[in-house]
Amino acid sequence: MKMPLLRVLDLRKYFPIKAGLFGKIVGYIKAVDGVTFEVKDGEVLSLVGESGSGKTTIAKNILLLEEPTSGQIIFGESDITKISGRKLKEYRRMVQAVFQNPFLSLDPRMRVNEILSEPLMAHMKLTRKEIEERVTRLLEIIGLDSSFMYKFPHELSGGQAQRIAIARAIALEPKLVILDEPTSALDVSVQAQILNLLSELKEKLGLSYLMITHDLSIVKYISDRTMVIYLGKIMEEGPTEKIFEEPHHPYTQILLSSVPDIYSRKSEKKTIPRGEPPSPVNPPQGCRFHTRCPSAMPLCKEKTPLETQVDEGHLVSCWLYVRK
Amino acid sequence: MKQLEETRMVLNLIIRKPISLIALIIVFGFVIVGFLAPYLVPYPEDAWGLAYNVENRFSPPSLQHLFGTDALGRDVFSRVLLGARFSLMIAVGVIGIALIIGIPVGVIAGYYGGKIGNFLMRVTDMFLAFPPLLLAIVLAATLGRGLLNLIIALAISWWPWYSRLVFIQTNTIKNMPYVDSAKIAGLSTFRILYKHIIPNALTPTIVQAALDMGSAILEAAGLSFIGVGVKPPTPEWGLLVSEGWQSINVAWWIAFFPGLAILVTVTGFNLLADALRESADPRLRRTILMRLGIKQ
Repeated sequence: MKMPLLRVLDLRKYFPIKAGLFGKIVGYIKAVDGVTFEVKDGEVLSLVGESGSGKTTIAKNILLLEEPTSGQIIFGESDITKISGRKLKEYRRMVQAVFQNPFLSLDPRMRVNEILSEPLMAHMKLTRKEIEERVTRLLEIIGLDSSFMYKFPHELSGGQAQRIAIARAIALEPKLVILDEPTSALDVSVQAQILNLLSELKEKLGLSYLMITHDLSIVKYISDRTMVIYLGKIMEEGPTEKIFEEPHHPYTQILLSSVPDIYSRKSEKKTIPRGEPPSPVNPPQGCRFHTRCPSAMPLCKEKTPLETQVDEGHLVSCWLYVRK
Repeated sequence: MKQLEETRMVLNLIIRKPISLIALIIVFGFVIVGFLAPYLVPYPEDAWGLAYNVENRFSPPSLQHLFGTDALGRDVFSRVLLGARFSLMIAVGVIGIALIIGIPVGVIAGYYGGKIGNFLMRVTDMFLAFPPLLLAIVLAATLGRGLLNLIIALAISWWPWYSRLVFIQTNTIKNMPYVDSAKIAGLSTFRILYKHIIPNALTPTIVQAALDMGSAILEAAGLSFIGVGVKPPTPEWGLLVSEGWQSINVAWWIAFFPGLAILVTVTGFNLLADALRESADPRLRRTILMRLGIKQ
């Protein structure tokens, strides 16, 4: 049995909406509304959802870039939501991230060697020479030669820049890397290279990934488990194969049917969800998806569905599967 | 080391463009004259306004007096030359003090936001609510005439513009993913401010400051011209113009040469600021290099 590396318990993040001259709080955007999951040591967990579903907010909370409204984030043994000082620094060393657009996540005024030595200098007391050695080795690991050392980010291609961002994330030999749409800003041909690099690094360095994406084809390719999120709540969660073979939740079914598939030649009728996702300011009562769900029942409007286990490690939050 | 290399690159770029080169020469010349003026002036006593030579008044430009003499028979050339020193002191003093106040206020307000940020920016707004020249005139008149008072008056009316600029930049930059990345890398807040936010937020401010050097000289001259700036007989350019314009029908050179000095210097600073903006940004720099056909 693999040990959980990171546990997120009933995480909530509400953003206040202020109005008027004195900034009175008139409501909340419920970006993340009670999310519980865990990332096991050495696994890749994918978090899938449309834009506005709260997936990036979850990442920002885990990375302590935002403070959760309530809930716990447990890394190893302890809750990290309120740590500071040396403990925070230790946590930073263990949990790293790669963001969507490398040209925004790399400082345009810094050369590659400065970008890569920054985390090293923040955490370790190394001589100038040791840092240089480490930077050279990092470049080697991600498949770039040392001529890239003195380049500025704007002199790199998208793929090269994302490799540098990955190199920075692994510089401190972390346990967990959060990948926030790591390939969405890249060309399709480069996407595959980056994904291969990520899988390779995972094996080599014993990493775990929490991958956030809306691209289902990468999910299938790289992840062990998948979690589908809609308007700040988890809809379905389970081993990736099971989710793709036998999606249970109507939302997951619709998501999967929207993936273009070059092998199926028959013109299947695609189920497209009706309308736009509702606003997270006033999310629908009961099941969040009932306003767009093809199999909505009267019960769905009233009560939030319970989480039901449909198979080993496969959980669905839908009234269709709750045993009466 | 790296800074030096950067500076050399920027200088190299400026030199390659004729108009920037002219601007650089003007500004360089102005600074050198500003420093060395006391040793360069042909008639030091005239320059400092210590001597009178009434029988030689209103003599037109000649070899002996390149810019002629003024109503009290003093050598205008000496006075204009020494005036560069005062203009340099004013420009550096005003912009320096304004930056020293403006940058920290803007960075702190922008990065921390909340109550502190609000308070700092409302104070800034209070100053911005006055027309800057009017505020400077009021302050200069209240503080009394004198070089230091003039610098203080101008700096006080000047810093809010910088703090506003730095505030806006900081506010944008603190939300950039590379700042998040720096946090995740474990950098301290101080290092994030110092290594990422300030360098990125400062480019427009530095360009603005370089541009403003010219305006500071111009405004100081304006204040002296209307009589709330430096005390006579200090050879400040604005004061020289003001002393000369009354007799412009008799002796055009008294007001003309200090005026020309102001014009040339201010233009030089403005052109140089343009060149700086183009070359200080590594991304813009690349386009210029390409335009000039230089491989990096």
